[in-house]
Amino acid sequence: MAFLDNSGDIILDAVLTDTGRRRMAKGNFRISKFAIGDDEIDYGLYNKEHPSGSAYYDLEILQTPVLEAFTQMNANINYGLTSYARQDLLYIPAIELNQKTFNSRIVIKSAAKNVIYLADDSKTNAAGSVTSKVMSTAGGSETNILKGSDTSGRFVLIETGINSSELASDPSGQSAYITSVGLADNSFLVRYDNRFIGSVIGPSPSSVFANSSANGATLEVSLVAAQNTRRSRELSNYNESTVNASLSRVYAQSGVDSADTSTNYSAIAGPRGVFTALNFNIVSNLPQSDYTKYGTTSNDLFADGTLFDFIDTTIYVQGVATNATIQLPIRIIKLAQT
Amino acid sequence: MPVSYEPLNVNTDVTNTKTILHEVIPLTGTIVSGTYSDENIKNYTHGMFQSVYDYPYLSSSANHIFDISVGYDESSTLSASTNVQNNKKINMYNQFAQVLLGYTGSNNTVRLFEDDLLLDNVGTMQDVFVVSFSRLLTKDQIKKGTFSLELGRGAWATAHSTTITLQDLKASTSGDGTLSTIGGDYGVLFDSTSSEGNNAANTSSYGVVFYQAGIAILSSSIWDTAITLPGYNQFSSGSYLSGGAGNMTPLACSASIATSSISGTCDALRHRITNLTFNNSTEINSTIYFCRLPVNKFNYSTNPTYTSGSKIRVKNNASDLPVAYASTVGLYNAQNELLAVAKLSEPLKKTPQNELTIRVRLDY
Repeated sequence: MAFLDNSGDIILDAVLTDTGRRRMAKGNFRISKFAIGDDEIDYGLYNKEHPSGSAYYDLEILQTPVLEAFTQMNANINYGLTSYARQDLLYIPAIELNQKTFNSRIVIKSAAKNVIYLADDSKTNAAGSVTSKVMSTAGGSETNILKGSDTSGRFVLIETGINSSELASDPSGQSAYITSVGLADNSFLVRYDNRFIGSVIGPSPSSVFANSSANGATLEVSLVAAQNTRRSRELSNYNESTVNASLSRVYAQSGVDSADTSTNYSAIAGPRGVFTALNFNIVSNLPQSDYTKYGTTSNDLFADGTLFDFIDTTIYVQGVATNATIQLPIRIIKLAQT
Repeated sequence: MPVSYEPLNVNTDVTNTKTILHEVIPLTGTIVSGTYSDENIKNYTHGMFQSVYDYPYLSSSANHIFDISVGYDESSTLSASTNVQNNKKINMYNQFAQVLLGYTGSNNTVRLFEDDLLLDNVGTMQDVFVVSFSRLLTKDQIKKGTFSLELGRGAWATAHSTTITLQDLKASTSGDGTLSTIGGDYGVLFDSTSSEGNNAANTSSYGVVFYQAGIAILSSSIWDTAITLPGYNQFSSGSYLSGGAGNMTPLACSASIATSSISGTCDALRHRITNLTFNNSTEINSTIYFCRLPVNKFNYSTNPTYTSGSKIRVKNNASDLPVAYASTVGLYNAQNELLAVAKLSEPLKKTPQNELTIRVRLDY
């Protein structure tokens, strides 16, 4: 796609998407709402220190060239303008993947491969060992491996909150910057590729993530099936499900040297918002042809001679209130067929 | 994955309009005959008509612009079973007559073309040239009152030394000066230079133009031997007729229609087209969506660059106004399916101090 001519008057280049054309052909083309996107904008170009004054702060942003419209439904508005009731927000919650090691149920992204492994344990080797077991002996760390469908094992821990050490991570900070301004998500939308992921497992509403000076961190999570699963209208081949979110009770606690120990447990530096936990069910009997078509087969992933097949996919997790979104790189992996 | 949707009220935010666009279509005679040494002329083995392109037709850049054919009614004095392609000439006449005029209703007789608006069998045109324009040129229809065709009336060698300009002088976009038949509205083509003025149907009229069909019917009487013209008896060259059938002496128009092939006579007509212009019309039905961004909405962004360490980049203090920049408008149905996308040529600034209305027009 080319850029639009921005040398004169502001013009609007409008096209029907492929979905729009299909709807028109079927006679059910009904536009009922709109959304605003700003995918081309790099807000890092907003220069609040511009020597010529505030009129020049956004000069570079306003000169951003804009691409012509795409006709693919998922290539136009990946991020968008949003509305919050209050105009005096200075901080917006971020969403972060918790990579802390204080609890053995938290899965951590592989530093070497930058993915989280999702092991298909329905596959075994000649000795009868399942994929995750073979992986851990082959050189993969257990902490990087999710076992598909496992409700009592590891999970992905995701937190929201103000990721700034400028603000105190105490209950009053949580109230001032999260709960009282309506930025505590009560659930998350999880979008996943339905060709590979069968369903999502999320935390029960009674899940707890808390800390205390006496006992350190407490992370009690029961994984249950996600709800409201439906086909994603925004991403091809994706489904979306809703999982619970619970308020984080991890607050600043002074340790022996007066340092805040809460950052040993939380990925958020400032006031914490909510957390959720995820695991996934791999599509039952995911065919070998899918590994061949969409992934990599017979790969000596850990350089020990053990061969694996895998498919890389991305899972999107979005807070319902904050709209903060994180992408999880997931590698669905199984022992190679011999 | 947009995160904030704003509903569109069908009563206040959506409107439908109809716009008629016109384009001027100028065709110079050199394109029709000369510039491309007839490589832009396509003849068919059936020989019933000839296609004219704006470029050598074997090129993918070529556009079909119109077809020419010749025909006469079987009651015409020119009709004779010994004529070259006699049946095909009759068939061509009948085909256009039945599509554009229909039948009289008695004896299944096809109506005859007339050089006036009244289908009363007065001023019938029994020997005609048919110029049917491509939809690429006429679009929805030819604009009434804009058709102008200048034809050479001289001898073959100096065909354009004397010309006649045929125009639908009495037709207007309001419908005055036209009449409707089953083939749509039609107007009469008058000799614009005739001293008899515009009103003298049957004496200074030489054809009709069907606006929606994009077809001009030209009477062979334009080159009638009764008119004193320098080359009335040299309508075609006689020395070269692409249709074959070589009468090697120059022919009058009627003789050419009768004795030459259709394509040969079409060649002769093309040779005499000096200029052709008309305006086409395109009806555009539009739905306009007024996407209103009120003061209290769309002031923040979920763009990952919007924050740094959770802090909004465009603010120094909480009391500063939030700012966001819009570059795209997505139009969705109730199921959140993206049906249409509009891109702004430059970002628009949105703050709680301003309200934007982005007008998105979809044309059909």
